[in-house]
Amino acid sequence: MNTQKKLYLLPHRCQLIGWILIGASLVFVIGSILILKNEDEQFTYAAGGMIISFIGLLLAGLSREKQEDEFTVFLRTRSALTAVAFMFALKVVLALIAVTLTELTHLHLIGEEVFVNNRSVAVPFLSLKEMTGYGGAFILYLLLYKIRLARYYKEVNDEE
Amino acid sequence: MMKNNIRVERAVLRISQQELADAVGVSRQTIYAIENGKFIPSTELALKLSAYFGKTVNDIFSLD
Repeated sequence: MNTQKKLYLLPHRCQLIGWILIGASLVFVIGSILILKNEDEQFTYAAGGMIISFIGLLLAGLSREKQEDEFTVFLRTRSALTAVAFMFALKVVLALIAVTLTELTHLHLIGEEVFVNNRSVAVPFLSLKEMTGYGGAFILYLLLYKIRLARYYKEVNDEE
Repeated sequence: MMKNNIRVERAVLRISQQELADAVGVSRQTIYAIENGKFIPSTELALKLSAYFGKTVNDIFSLD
């Protein structure tokens, strides 16, 4: 099986663009929270930054390595499976915790918003749904894959 | 589990991991991972490695 033909990935140069977008979006989001006073404006710019970060994640995570072969495919597959399984388990555990805490404290912890003293604190990009959904799973896949790949690069260099 | 004697065969031919990797069309990390038992190659790659050393697949790879 020629895995290079069957695996549809973006060109390698998209990886650098992706990481730059991720870095820029973090600066954008943090900057908007620190500089802007209006909550609506903060939310708008933060949401925009989040979209940019997701585009960056897609570019960084779905682009080829310099040399893509069956070993990198193996690492990608294993990382993706671990990420999905872990995030699903985390989602179940957090849902149970959220339901329990909601019952005990009367704070509405389920859903997109957190209510404190009947005042809505909208944190959609930090909500449980986002962290344990497709976005969180993809972030975890990218982290696992890159860490595992870096570890093998280091071991090979150490052996040399 | 599988074991292999790629490292021994490389030493006989006095070639590096990078040279072997270039010869069979994979990365050096792949050769390293195979030699250290961290990755089991596909049938295609196993056949390429065996052909490079002029041996059969059973001469290079075996079950534990």
